[in-house]
Amino acid sequence: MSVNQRQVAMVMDLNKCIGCQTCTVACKTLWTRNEGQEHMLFNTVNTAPGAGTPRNFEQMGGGFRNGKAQSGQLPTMADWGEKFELNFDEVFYGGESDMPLNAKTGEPDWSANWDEDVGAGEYPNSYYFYLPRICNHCTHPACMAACPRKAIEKREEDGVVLINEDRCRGYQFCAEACPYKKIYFNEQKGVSQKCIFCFPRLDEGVANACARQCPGRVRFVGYLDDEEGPIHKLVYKYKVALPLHPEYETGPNVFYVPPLSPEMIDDQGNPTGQDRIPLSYLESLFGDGVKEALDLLKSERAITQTGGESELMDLLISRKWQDLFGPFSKHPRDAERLRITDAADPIKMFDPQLATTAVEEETQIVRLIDPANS
Amino acid sequence: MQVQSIKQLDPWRDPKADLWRGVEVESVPLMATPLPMQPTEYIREKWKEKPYGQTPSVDVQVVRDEREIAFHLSWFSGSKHGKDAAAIALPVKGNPILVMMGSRTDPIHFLHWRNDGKPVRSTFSEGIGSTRPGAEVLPGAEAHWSDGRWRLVITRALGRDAEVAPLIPGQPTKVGFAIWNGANDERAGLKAFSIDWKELHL
Ligand code: SF4
Ligand code: SF4
Repeated sequence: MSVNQRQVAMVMDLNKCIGCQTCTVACKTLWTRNEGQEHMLFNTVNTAPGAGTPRNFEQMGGGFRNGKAQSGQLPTMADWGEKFELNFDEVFYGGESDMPLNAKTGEPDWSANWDEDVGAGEYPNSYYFYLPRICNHCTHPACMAACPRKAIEKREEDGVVLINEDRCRGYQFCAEACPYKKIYFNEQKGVSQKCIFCFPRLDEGVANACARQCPGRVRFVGYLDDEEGPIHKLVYKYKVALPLHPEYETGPNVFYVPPLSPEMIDDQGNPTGQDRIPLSYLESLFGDGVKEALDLLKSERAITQTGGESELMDLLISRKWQDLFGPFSKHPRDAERLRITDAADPIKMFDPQLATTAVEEETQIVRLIDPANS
Repeated sequence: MQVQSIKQLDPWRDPKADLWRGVEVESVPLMATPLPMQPTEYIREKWKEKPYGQTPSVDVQVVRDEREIAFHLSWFSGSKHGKDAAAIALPVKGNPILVMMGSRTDPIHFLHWRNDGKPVRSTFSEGIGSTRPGAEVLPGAEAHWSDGRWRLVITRALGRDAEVAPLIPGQPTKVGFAIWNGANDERAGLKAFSIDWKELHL
């Protein structure tokens, strides 16, 4: 296993995620628009509790136990949910105002985020929150360990985990072994594909598209070892940012600030002082550190509510948007142009045809710019 | 294994062609690549209690004309699956160990067919996990499945080159075979292979 010098990481503050899927769309628009990628969402946002994407991925095995590789299951296309088109044209422009919004092809019974806002619990104490997920660019990537072709690499300079499509043979052992089920298969190219942590943007000092586009300011991006940066402080100093399913033993480098909840209310409508989201559920996701994290968030919040100062609250509020991105705060417009024609680069993420046209028209910067040009 | 010399290879490309009936058949026994040789712990763990590489044998016939060679492979597969596959191994030089997929000094040249409608792949291997695209050897394949059996003809140009296994009339060499059962999810090292090389008399 390669030893990387530094590790980039992401912290997602679940208290701020509004489930708008802007991140999902930003990523989809930037990276998975080609043929063979229709079903791919490198970034997903699911309602929790829920089945997740792919459906019931938490029951599909993989990862490690006591350091030993665990057998995993390959998600089927039905688990991901096939792409379908909605009848927007008929509904909005067809002159039939009471026509329901429906899939044009067949009747899908599952897709990413199918169980949106279902959640759990009984009225009036029902609850849910949103859980955005990308590849965790793990410290011990189960995907990389499983590949018989050594087609998966962890970049030395920043620990980003990438699939080398020149070496990949489409065997999909990686997709079985990843306990987060974050690897898709491109039938068209016969290779596995997954989140690349927007590395061509990082290389130019620009933060990930999902992070820049997020209207909730949910996502921090930076180096884990940057002691002055928000990531290091949230993960190590305050320990309020926790990895998802640490029991899979892959060492995820995406961390979550667990969600605080409103108090439960009793039959009379009076608050009971108990959190609505069961601690046991949050611990099943983020491990043992949840209680301490939530307690600290509550006590720090109380400090600011009475006029006091809290570095933690300031960090989480992130009044200055740019502070979320540390060394990656450049606007894509100001970044150097991407060297998309560099033949030495083994990572083929651009449709060569698209790339050529782009170069000819001198618009190759387009892939660096956030879709909405923010 | 004797290569029968023929005039013109074209009619032999069809695996169903009656011509093949007159050619000597050698049944090559196969065995599963041993579990300890699977290259990653993940694969060994996942397949430790799951049988693979159970195809017992492959029937082989070989003919050649002046320019090309044709291998006729026939094996029992039960069902027909998009990931059913077969490969022919030929030593490039030295004395490579088949089950090790060759080595740096003694590489192996493979011709891979898979039931996915894509062309035969020529690959060059210097050991397990090192396989990379091989030289252009004008490979071709036609396959036919009926009554639970695959019949497959793989062709290749005769001759030699730096990374091409030599196939020269009058010069004996060796050949090996591998079969993947797609319905059993077999791929990569999860396969049945001919335990050792067979002499190939051109
Ligand atoms: S989340 Fe899965 S795909 Fe991403 S690095 Fe970890 S094991 Fe690999
Ligand atoms: S863009 Fe931000 S707020 Fe919207 S779903 Fe994604 S992470 Fe949540």
